[in-house]
Amino acid sequence: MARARKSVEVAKTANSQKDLLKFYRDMLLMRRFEERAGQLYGMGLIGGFCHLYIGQEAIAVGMQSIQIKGDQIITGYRDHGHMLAAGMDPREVMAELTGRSGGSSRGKGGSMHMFSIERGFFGGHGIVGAQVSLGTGLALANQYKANGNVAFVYFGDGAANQGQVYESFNMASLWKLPVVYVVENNQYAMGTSIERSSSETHLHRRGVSFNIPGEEVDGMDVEAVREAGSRAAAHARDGHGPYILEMKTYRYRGHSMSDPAKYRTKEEVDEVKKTRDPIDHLREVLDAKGWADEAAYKAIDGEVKAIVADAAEFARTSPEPDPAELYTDVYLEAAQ
Amino acid sequence: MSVDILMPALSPTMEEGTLAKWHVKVGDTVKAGDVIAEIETDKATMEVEAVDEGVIEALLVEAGTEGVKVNSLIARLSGENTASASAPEPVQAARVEPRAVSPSTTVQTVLADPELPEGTTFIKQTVRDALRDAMAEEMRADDRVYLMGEEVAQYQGAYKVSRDLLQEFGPRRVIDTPITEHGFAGLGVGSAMAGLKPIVEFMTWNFAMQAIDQIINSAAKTLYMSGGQIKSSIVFRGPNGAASRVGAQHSQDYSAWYANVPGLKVVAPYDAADAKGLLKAAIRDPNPVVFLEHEMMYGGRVRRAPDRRPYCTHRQGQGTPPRPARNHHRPFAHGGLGSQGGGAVDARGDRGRGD
Ligand SMILES: Cc1ncc(C[n+]2csc(CCOP(=O)(O)OP(=O)(O)O)c2C)c(N)n1
Ligand SMILES: [Mg+2]
Repeated sequence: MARARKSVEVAKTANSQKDLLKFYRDMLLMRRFEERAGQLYGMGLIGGFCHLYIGQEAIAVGMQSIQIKGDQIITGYRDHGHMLAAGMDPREVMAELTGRSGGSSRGKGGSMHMFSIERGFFGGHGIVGAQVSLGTGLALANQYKANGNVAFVYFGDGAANQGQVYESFNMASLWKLPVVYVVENNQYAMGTSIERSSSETHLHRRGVSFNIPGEEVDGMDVEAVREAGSRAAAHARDGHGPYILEMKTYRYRGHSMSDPAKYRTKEEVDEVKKTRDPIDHLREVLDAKGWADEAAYKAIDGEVKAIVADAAEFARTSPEPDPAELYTDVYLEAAQ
Repeated sequence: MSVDILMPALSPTMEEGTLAKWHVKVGDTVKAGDVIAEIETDKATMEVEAVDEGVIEALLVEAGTEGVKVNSLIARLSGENTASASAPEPVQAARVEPRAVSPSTTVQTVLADPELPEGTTFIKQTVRDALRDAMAEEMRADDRVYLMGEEVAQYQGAYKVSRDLLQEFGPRRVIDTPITEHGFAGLGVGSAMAGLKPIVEFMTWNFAMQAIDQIINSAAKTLYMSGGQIKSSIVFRGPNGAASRVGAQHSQDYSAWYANVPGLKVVAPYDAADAKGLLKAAIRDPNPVVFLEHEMMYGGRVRRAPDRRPYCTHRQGQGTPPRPARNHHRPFAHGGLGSQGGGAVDARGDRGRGD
C-alpha cells in the first residue's frame, strides 16, 4: 500500500513564466475547441446535447495544475474543458462529440459522457448532482487504499440544491474523506438564476452544518483558482477531510445549444466578457510582467488553431461506430 | 384471579422463539417493569418485562426451550392485582465476542446434483448464515470487498445477516452508514468505479427507491457510456418483497423492475445453497448485481449449503440475468415468494419449505 503524501500549498506569487504561459495556452485551447464544437453542432455533425465551457476555463486549468498522479476528477455533462485539462487527446474528445468510433467512449457516450481511467477522469455524468456522491465514493476508495490521492468533484450552482450533495457532504466530513468539492457557480442553472433557486446563494457556506470549510474564489482568475485549489487539496490530502471551493464564474454561451437566451440580458453577458474574461485577464498579467510579446502570443495562437483543426478533421472523418456496438459494453464477461 | 402470560411476538415475522432464561421463580413478587424472562430469536435477544404487579404462580415452559410458539402459554401470574407481560421494546442485538466466523458443524451427505463438484458435502444452515458466510469468505479472499449499509456493523445487521463481520474485518471493511440511501449508494458506486468491490446492503429494498437513480443511471449504464472503460463491480443486496403485516411501503417486490434494466444482473435466491453460491458469484461478478433476498426466508433452513467452495451455475448471456442456481421452483414463484407458494411446490413433488 502506498504511503499518504503530504501536500504543499502554492502561493499566487509562486507561478513562473512557464506556468502562466501554459495556463494561457491551455485556456485558449479550450476556448477555441469549444467555439469549433459550436460550429460543428451548427453543421449537424454533433447531435443531442452539447454544453460549452466557454467563460469557465480558468477553473479547470487552475485546478488541474495542482493535481498529482492518481488524483481523480469527476464532473457533470459540461465536461469537454475538464477532459482537455486532464490531458486527453483533443481528437478523442471531438470525435466523441461527433459520436464516432474514434471518440473516447467509442461514440457511445457523446458530449455528456466522457471518461479516461488513465487520466483519472471519471466522467461525464448526466444526472445533475449524481457526480457528487460518485466522487465522494472515489475519495472513499482513496482512503480505503491509503494511496494519498484526492478526488476533485465539480458541480454547478444548480446541482448544489440536490439532496445527495448534502448526504455526501455529511459522510465525507464524518469519515474525513480526501475530497475537494468545486462548485462552478456560473450563476445560472439552465434559465434559473441562483437568486431564484437558492435560499443561501453563498454556496461556499453550504458546508457549515457539516463542519466543512469553504471559501469563495474568483473563478475568472486562474492564479486565484490555483492558489485556493492547492490550499483545499492540502487540507484533504493531509487527512483533514473535505473542502468546498465556490468558484464565481460565468458561462458566455447558452446552457446547451438550444437556449432561448430570455433569462438574462445581452448587456449582462457583454459586461462580463469585457471586464472579467479569464483569458484577457491572464494576458494582462503576462503583459505587466513582460513575460510574453506579440510573437509569443502569435505562436500559441497558431499552435492551438492547428490542434483544433486537426481534432475537427479527425472527428469528421472517423467512422461511425458499428451498429453491433449497441450490444457491447452492456455486461462484462464473468470469470468462471 | 390468575393471569396468563403468553409468548410474545417480538417482530412482525416471528413465529416462534427460544425461551432462553427465566429471571423469576415461582412465588416471586414482580412489579411493572421487572424483567421476567429472556427470549431469543435468530435475529435478536430480547427481554420480557412485566407490565403490572403480581406473584408468579407457575412457569410453564422450561428455560432453554426452543421453538416456543408465539401466543402459547408460558407462565401464570396470580394476585389481587391483574398483571401481565407484553412484548417489550427490543433491547440490543446480542453481544458477540471477536472471533472468526465459522459455519455450523452438522455435516450431512451428498445430494445428487450434477452441477456440484464431486465430493461436496452439505451442512445444515440458515439462509441468513449462508449469506453471511458468503460475504465472509469473499472478504477473506479479496481485500477490495467491503460491506456498507445501515446498521451492518455494530448492530450486527438489522436482520442479523452481517453478524460477526465487524468483529472479524473491522470498521474499515464493515461500514455503518447514516440513513442516507441515495448518498451511500452513490458512494458505493463511485468506489467501485475506482476499483473496490462494495456490497451495499439496503435495510430493505423498499428504501432503495431513494437510491434507484445511482443503481440504474450510474452503476448499470456507465460501462456502456464509457465504451467499456468504467466498471462497477458492486452488489446491492437486502430483503425484498412482502414480509409479514408490515404495510404496503415495506412490501414491494422489485424483481421485475430491476430485471428490465440493461447492465444489471438480478438474482433472487431461494434456499441456503442458492443464497451462498449466488452471493459469492455476485460478489466476484464484474457487473453490478441486484441481489434480492427475502426476510421470511432468513431463518429457514430450506436446503443445505455446500460446505466448501460454492458451486454456482452461472449461465448468462448479454442482457439476461443469471438464473438462480436451481430453478425448479421458478414456474410460479421465485426467491422468498417461493416459500409462500410452498404448498404448491409440495404438491408437485418438489421439496418444499423445511429441512
Ligand atoms: C436530476 C436532473 N434534473 C434535471 C436535469 C436537467 N438539467 C440538466 S443541466 C440542468 C441545469 C444545471 O445547472 P448547474 O448545476 O448550475 O450547472 P451548469 O449547467 O450551469 O454548468 C438541468 C436542470 C438533469 N440532467 N438531471
Ligand atoms: Mg450553473
